[in-house]
Amino acid sequence: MVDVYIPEQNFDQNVHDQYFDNAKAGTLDVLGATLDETLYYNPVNALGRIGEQLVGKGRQGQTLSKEDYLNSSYYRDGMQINDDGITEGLAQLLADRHDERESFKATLSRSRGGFGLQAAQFGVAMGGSILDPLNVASAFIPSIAVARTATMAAKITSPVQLAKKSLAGKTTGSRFTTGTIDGAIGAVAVEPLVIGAAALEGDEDYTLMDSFLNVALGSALGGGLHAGFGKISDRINKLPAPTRDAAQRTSTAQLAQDQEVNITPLIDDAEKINIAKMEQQAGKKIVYNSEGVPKAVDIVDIGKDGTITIRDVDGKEKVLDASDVRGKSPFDEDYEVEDIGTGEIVPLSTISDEFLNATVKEFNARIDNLQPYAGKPKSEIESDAIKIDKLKADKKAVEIELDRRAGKVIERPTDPDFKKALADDVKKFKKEIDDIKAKAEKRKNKNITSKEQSRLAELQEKITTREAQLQEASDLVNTEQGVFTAQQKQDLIDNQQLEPNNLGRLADHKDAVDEMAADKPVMEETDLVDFEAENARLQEDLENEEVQKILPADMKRSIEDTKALDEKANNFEAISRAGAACIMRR
Amino acid sequence: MPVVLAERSADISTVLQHSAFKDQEYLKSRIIFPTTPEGKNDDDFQNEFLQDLKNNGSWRTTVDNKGAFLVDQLGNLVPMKPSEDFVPPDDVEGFGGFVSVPFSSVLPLADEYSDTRGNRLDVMNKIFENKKLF
Repeated sequence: MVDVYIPEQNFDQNVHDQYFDNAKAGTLDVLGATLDETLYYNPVNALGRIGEQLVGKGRQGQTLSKEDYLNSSYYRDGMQINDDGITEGLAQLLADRHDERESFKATLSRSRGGFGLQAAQFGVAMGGSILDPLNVASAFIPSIAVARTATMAAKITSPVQLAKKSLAGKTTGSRFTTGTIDGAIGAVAVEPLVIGAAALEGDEDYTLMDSFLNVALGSALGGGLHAGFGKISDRINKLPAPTRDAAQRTSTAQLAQDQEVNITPLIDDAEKINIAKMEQQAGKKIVYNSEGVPKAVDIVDIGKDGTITIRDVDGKEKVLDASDVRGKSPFDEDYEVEDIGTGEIVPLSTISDEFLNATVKEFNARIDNLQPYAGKPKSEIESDAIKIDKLKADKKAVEIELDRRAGKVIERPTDPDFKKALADDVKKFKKEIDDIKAKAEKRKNKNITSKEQSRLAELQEKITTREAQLQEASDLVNTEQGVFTAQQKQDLIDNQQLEPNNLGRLADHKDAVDEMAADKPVMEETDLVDFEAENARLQEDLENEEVQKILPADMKRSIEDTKALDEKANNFEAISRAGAACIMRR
Repeated sequence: MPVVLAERSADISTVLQHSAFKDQEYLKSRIIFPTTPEGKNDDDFQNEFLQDLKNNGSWRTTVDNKGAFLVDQLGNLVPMKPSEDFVPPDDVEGFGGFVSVPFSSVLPLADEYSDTRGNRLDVMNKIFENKKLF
C-alpha cells in the first residue's frame, strides 16, 4: 500500500490580503443587492426620500456649520453642502442613505458578471420595479395614463397614440408592444422624481445613464406587465366596473394621503368571490387527506370569509382545512408549512435541507405530544385530532420535498376524474327531473306543484352549470390551485421531448407544416430600373383608350388625386429647402 | 469527517454552523478581516466577508481528524484577533490563531442537540446561550 501524504492546511497571508480582488459575491447576494438597488431607486421611494428631506426629518435638529459637519460623524467622503450649513437631521439622513447605497454597491462591485447573472439581475430589477406602486400605476391607471400622456403631448402624443391605436389588440405580442410604449412614457414621467432625489442627496453615482436605463427598464416593465406576469392589466380589466372604480378611487386616495398604494386586497377579494361563486356553482371540489390522496366531494357552502364546507364521501359535512380534509395536497410544490424557527408560514422551497430535516423531527415530536392519553377530555381529543391531521399533512409535504430534492421520483396519486363526477351529477339531476315529471303524470290533473316547479328550475340550472363546467373540466384538473403538479410538469416535459415540433394536437399535420416552412418566399432585391419599367407599362395600359372606357369615374378621380400627391411629393424637398432658407434668413 | 463520526455528521455540522454564524457580531469581533479595497467602507466589506463566509465558507477536518477549521471562499484559513483571554484548544494544534474547533468540544453539544426535544432553533439557542466554541 502506498502512503499518501496530505499536508496540513496553511494560512496564506497574501491570499487573505487580496481576498476582495479574487473572491466574488454569490449569485443570490448579487441578486439581493440588485433588488435593494432597484427598490432604493424606485419612484415612490424617491418621493418618500424627497419628502423626508424637505418637510420631515431633514428639517429637524440644530444647524451644523459647514466646518462642524465636515468634522462630524455624519460626514461621508464626497458629500458636499453649501456654506449655510446643514441641519443635524438632514446630515443624518444623508449619511444613512450614503451608507445604504454603499452597502449594495459593495456587493454589486464584487459580482462575477456574465450573461446569465446579468439576465437574472435584469429580471430581479423588473420584479423590484413592479413592487413600486407608482411604476405600476403609471402603466395602468387610466387617469394617470392620461396625465402622463399630456406631459409628453408636445413631442410624442401623436405618434404614440397612432402606434397604440394600430397596436391595440388582444394578442400577447401587441399587448407587449402597447405596454412597452406605456411603460416608456410612464417611466419618463416618474424619472424626474428619481434623479431629483439623487441630486438632492448628493448621490453622484446616479447619472443620466442610470436615468436612461431606468426608462429602458420602465419600457420593459410596461411591456412585461401588459404581456406577462399573469397579465395584470387584463386582471384589472376583468374586474366588475364598480370594483375597478373602487380600486382607482382607493389608489388615488392612498396616494393623496402619502400612503403606499395597495389595491391588491380589493382585487383579490373580487376574484376570490368569483372563484368561490364558480366553485359553488360547480358544486364539486377535489380535496385531499393528510397523505395526499385525492377525492371529489360536494361543496355544501362557501362562507363569506371563504370557509368551505363540503360533504365527504361518507356523507358527513366537514369544514375544509379544519377537519381531516384539506384543500391543498402535500404533493403540491407550493405547499406551505410553519418555519419552526420563526413560526411563520412559508413555502417549502424557501426552507434549507437541514431545517427540513429538523422540521420532520419537530412535527413528529408535536404529533407525539398531541396523542390521546387516559383521562384526556373528549373535546380536547377531537381538537387535537385535527391538529395531528394537519401536522401529518405538513410532515408528509416536507418529506416529499426532501425526496424531490434528493432526485427521487415522486408519484402523486392521480386526481379523481372530475369530468366523470360532473357527468354523474348531470345524470343524477336528469333522473330526478324525470322522476318529478313521472310523478306529476300519475296525478289526475297532471299538474306540477309549485315546490316541484322550483326544484325543476333549480335542477335545470345545476345541469346547465355542470355541462358548462364539463367543457372546462380538463383545464380545471390540470391547473387545480393554479399550479402544475410535479407529475404534470414531468409529463409536459416528456411530451415536449417526444414532440420537438411543438405542434401538440396538430402533430399529425407535421409534414404539411414542414413543407410550408421549406417553401419560404425568396425576397429578391428590387431593381429600380425594372420597377420604373413596370410602372411605365402600367401607365401605358392606363392611358389606353379601351382601358379608359371601362375605368369607373371614381377610379379615374383617384388616379388624378394620386398624380397631384405625387407632384407635391416631388416638390417636397424643394419646398423644405426654401422654408429652411427663410427661417435662417439666408 | 472521521469515519467513526459519519453518522453524527448532520448534528455536528448544524452545531458548527450555528456556533460560527448565528452570532455575527461575535464572529465580527473575533476574526481578522481581509484588507478593505481603497476608498471603500470597512463596515460594508467586513459584512461582505461575513456573508461570503456564511454562504461559501466551509468547515474542514484537520489531517489528524481531531477537529475542524473554518476556511473562506478561497480555501484560506480565517485568522482570529489575538486575545488575552483566549486559550487555544489542545486538539487542534497549529490552528490556535485561526477559527478552529476540536471535535471533543463539539460532540457533547451535538449530543445535547440531538437528545433535546422541542423547537430545533430554540434548542440550539439554549445550548449556545452562554457558550462559545472558539
